[in-house]
Amino acid sequence: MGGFLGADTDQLIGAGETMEQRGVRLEEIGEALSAAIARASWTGPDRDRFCESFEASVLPLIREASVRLGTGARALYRHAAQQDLASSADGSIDSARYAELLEGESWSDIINWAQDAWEKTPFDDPMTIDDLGGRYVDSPEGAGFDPADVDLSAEAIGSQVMRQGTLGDCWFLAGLMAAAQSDPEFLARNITLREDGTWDVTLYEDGEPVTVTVSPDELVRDGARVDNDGSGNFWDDDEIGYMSIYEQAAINHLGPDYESVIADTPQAGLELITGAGANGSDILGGQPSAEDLHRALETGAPITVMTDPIMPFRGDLASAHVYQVQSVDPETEEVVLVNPWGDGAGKPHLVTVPMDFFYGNNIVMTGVGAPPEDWG
Amino acid sequence: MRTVSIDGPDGATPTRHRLRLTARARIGSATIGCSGARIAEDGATAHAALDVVDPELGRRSVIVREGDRIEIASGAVLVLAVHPWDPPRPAGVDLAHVAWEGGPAA
Repeated sequence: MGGFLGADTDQLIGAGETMEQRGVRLEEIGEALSAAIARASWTGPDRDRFCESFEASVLPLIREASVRLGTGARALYRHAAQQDLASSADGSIDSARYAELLEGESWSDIINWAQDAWEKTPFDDPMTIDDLGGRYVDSPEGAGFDPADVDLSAEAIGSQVMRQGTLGDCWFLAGLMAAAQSDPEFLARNITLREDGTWDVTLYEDGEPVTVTVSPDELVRDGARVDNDGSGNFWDDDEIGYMSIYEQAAINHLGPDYESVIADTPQAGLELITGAGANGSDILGGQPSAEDLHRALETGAPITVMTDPIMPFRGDLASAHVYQVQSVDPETEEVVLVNPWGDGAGKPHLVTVPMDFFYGNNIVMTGVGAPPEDWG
Repeated sequence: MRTVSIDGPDGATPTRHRLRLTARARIGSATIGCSGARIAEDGATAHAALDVVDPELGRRSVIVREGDRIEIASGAVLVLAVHPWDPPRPAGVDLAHVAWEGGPAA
């Protein structure tokens, strides 16, 4: 890694100005389209339905996209201001430059924003074991827990349903689900119960194996579990499984606290688990086709995707959430996604989405892992 | 209408919960997941999508803003703050659960 960290603020501001201009232009196009439709010599129920649909479905999306471009531009200006502030030896920057760009936000606002970005709030504090329900072994369901009772066979790993808990580590858990579908024996080989009742778990750092020891005392009550009750939602019935131990191994490895496993890319999860390089793609660089995904799955490659963090709220998909790609039908171009929340959660366990969903920017990142013969 | 009181004489103590975006937590009688946290379309306020599963009341998805209140079988869940997606800061919601006075609803 080179020594440069940060950004060229002139480039950030230039990109922001372009985004802002395009946002304004997009709004103008929306208004012009609306006016053109209204002016058209067209009467009757078809016209009424079309206008209603345009006003209800199309125009709001155009306006929202315009707002998002404007918001993105202002975020870039703020990042540039923050960067200039951080790079300034005396803590001063050209306030007039940013005051103009940020329209009405005073220099004080900019400074406060930058300071806010650095100051942590109580919400930002790392999650503690109390936030996660305490220790599993101290809970009623964990009383008398015997590590030897955890079924770590390939058969169990390949058939168990994941139930994510109170950690936002879907990127890792979805990677585990995908790997379990591809090669459960690999995961079984990478967890060993030791004589002292702890487990050794093999993760990978830059492709190199790292052995991480996990103690039953470290497992949190509201962590990842085997979803045992189908469409029920009773966490107390959910057993400790390979995912519970793997999750704690990731916490111990990435450290220093539970927050270290919250949020990362689909690609990162697959690489941490399999040790093999994964292909990451996003909406900027282009997403894989249905045929690409289908071919990858046929080779046994694990695949995970992340949904748009700022998409409008949908009934069946969570935002900024990483799902396992279970299957792809190249003929119907439909993709079946699996939610690490498990069955019985407030969102469906399995979601079938058309492939054009990818192209509609609802999936912002895709991780395609290596086939199992390249793992480890 | 059932009531809640943070300083209620029957000792109902509110519990606070930090719920990260994409995670779920057991809060009172319910399991609540945060499936979205973002700046709303108005560009000014933050809102969040919560998925509530309550054994007695079933499943529902609600969109909340700071100050909103959700009723679950065991009490009320108050939305103390919404933290919109803004990496690298954590996103999600701050919630408080206050048990119904006199115990859970029948």
